[in-house]
Amino acid sequence: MNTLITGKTQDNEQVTLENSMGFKGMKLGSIALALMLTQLTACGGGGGDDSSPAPAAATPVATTPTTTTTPTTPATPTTPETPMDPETPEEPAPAPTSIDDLVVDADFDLQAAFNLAISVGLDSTQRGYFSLCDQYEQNGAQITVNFESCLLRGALNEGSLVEDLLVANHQQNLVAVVWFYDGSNPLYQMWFYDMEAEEQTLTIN
Amino acid sequence: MQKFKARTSPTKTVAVNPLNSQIINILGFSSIAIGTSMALFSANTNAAEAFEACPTEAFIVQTPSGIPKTFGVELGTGSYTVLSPDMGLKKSLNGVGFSYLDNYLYGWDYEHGTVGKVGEDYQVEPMTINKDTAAASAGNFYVGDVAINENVWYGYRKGKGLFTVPLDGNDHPMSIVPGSKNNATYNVTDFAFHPTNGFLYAVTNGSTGSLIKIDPSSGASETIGTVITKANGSFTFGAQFFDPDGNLYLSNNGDGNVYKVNVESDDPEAELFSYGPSSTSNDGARCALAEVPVGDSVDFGDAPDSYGTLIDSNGARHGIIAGMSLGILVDNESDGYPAPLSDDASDGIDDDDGISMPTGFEVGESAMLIVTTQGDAAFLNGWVDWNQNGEFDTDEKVIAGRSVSAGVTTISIDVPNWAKTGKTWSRFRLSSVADLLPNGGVSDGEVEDYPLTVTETGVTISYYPSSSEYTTLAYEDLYPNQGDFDMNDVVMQLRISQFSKNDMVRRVAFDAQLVAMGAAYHNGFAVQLPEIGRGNVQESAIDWSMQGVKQTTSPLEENQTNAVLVFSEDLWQHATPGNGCLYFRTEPGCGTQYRATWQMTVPFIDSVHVDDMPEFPYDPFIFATPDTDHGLAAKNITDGKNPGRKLEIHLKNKAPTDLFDTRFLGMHDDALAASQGQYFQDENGMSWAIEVPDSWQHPAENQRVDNAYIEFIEFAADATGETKPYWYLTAADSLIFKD
Repeated sequence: MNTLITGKTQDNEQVTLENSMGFKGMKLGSIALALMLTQLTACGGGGGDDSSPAPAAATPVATTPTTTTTPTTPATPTTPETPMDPETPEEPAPAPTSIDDLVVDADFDLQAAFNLAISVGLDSTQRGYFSLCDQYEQNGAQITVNFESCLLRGALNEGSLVEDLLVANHQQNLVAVVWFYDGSNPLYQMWFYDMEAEEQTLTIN
Repeated sequence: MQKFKARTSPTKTVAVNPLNSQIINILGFSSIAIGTSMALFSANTNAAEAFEACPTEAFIVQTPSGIPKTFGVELGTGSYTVLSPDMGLKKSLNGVGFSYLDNYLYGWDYEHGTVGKVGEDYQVEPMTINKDTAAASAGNFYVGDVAINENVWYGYRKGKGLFTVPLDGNDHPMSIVPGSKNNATYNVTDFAFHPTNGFLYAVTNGSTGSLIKIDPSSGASETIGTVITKANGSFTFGAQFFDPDGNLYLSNNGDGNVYKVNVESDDPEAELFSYGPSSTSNDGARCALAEVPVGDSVDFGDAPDSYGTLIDSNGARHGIIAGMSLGILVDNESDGYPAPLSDDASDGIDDDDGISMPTGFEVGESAMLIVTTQGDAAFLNGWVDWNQNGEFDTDEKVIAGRSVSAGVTTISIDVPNWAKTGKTWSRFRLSSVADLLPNGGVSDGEVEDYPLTVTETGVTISYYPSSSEYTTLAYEDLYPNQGDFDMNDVVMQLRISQFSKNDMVRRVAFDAQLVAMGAAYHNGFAVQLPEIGRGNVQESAIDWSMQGVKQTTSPLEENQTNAVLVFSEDLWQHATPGNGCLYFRTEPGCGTQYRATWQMTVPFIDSVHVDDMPEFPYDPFIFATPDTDHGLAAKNITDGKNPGRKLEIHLKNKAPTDLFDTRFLGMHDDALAASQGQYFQDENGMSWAIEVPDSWQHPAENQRVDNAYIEFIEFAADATGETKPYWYLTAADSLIFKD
């Protein structure tokens, strides 16, 4: 079970799930920033391709049980039936409100995950071990990582490691750690989902 | 007459000054615990009251410096309390026994040369006895016990004989057991009456301890066998006592270690049971008919029981004392709960927080551990089962009695060249006792068990969705008809680990658990690896287990081009509906913490480049259990017979396996478009299965997924996947299943 702090979604009826590891990952700072970015981009303009992977829509879609034929407000960012043409806003087709009127693109596999390309290239000859993990706590300069919650673990090969990962959508905030064996301080790098980016990457030099 | 009241203090509290025989440990509700600072015992010399009932702790009388004191020892952990710092004597009390018949302690009073009677005030009341000639010249006794079937104290002295003192009434003649003088040849420092068979038993002292059985009617002894050997030095078992199961406990004077031996087994052997109070002058008594309880404030580990986790396996256990722990959290258990049913997972409090592993464990290399501890004068011991034999062997001790200061300590350990790759277990114990075995009880500190993974050097592990999380696969099983969209006919959770070196994948591993089944049909579960040929799997080296039990059959399915791993032919063999329930974990009130689990490691013969590997979560699917009904629609397609393997249900757009009957394609709601790589979707693009990369709370029975998760529709409607990407986190609370 994974705990998601309620700051990530703004809807009511939230469910907070206990994390069986008992480890609290307080990442509200990054989510607040993400939300701010969302507010700027979600309002105004029709067209489906303008929507960013926002935690919450600025204008929730009305979910009445009976579908109406009148168009919904143009501010709605999700109208898959309309052609992808932001320059000439057309009347968007009514948004589906249930499975009964839902049409899913035949090629859309419904997977809620994204690709993350990792590239580590340290100019270092010392032995190092890399971990990319989901849960961590930060108290000022002190970072405590839960090494049981990782997506990738492996020794660096002469300072480098290149890997492509599939990451669940809600794992928006990860920490990369390089741990050394000679007593040197470990290297930490936080990674946050970048809404602007075409592809998600994590680079450590 | 002052009575001692049972202290109802909260568990896990305090006290104090560590070390030696003055440690105070408040053990919770069950014991009578008085601190030295609160001397509540009575100075009244009138007849004292008997003990309340057959008490569970062992009484140990020690005379560390001339004056006897009484300790109560919880045998389970070796925790002890000072019951009385003073017994009203100026010389020792020895040969002590507990009378089950009248609930008093009796022992030989050295000051008055007679039997002393001790009530709950712990003050010795010398009895008036009449010694016969032999008794009068026998001197003092340090070996004694009270019989169970008669209220008689027995005392033994080597070379003098076995003597009796009846305890009831007003006459207490002390007489020699006829013929016992010639039999008085054995050398022991205590003995004890067996709870039921009427005989006395003892273990002799020296570098080897022999178990002997003594007939109280003649004093004759019979040697049963050697039960223990000491490498250096010798044993002096000054206190010996029984529990109701015929287990004899021996307390060794020099170090206080308590050993346990079952006297009735064919080949009795003593094992170290717990670490108790030590003293040069020990004598012990115990109501043999009282069980040895675990206690209320005891911490257990959670490794599989082969490592010694349950109390019955003499599992690692620690009396909980505030201020000494691994990490910050410690919780008590009434017994060990081996994973996967550890209380760490079920009660929401994971107190395994003392050890962090920032590096991997590579064969022949060093690895780092970050240890966080609380407590001064603490020692750390640690083991890793490198050879994966299910036990912590002596050569697997990675940290030995290491003194650690409170705070964070970074420790480097070596992974031996002979370590096996794969998942194994480790155990860490913190205590004021420096040298510990991997099991047995100790009075303070904490034990934490951790699974860890050993790899060859240079191996990278990628996990999906992470090393501690699962992805959820939820299926509707009425294919080729669409169902009720509650997406809970079969709900499995899966975690995939991929092991590669230099981008070449050499093996994959699965962790799976069955989360729910809201369907009457029987379904099996399997994972296909598209593009990976069946012939590239090293079938004989597949390592898999169900519920932790190793499986010997091969899960690699025959007659398949691709590698297909079958986890179960019938998931209903791994779950039972709750009382009054039709299904497993879908109807309200039908919950359980239980999960059927699978672990499987699949090695490849030729490594596969990462780019040629199928994307996570590979291709997990359900299939109709052979020879079971799966509905009329299916039967009509498969020649009027039950479909069995011919019917499969995959995630959207994952192609079925060779065993699937292609006649299902395009039938009923299936929108045939296989030529475009589109499978298992209806004409609206909706599928029979979805994957949620999280431990998803599935909808309750008959609750549609779009009602339980209102954001699903918007997510599904946008082919970029960028709308409502966290749809699976926001549920309508009343529509999802809860335990």
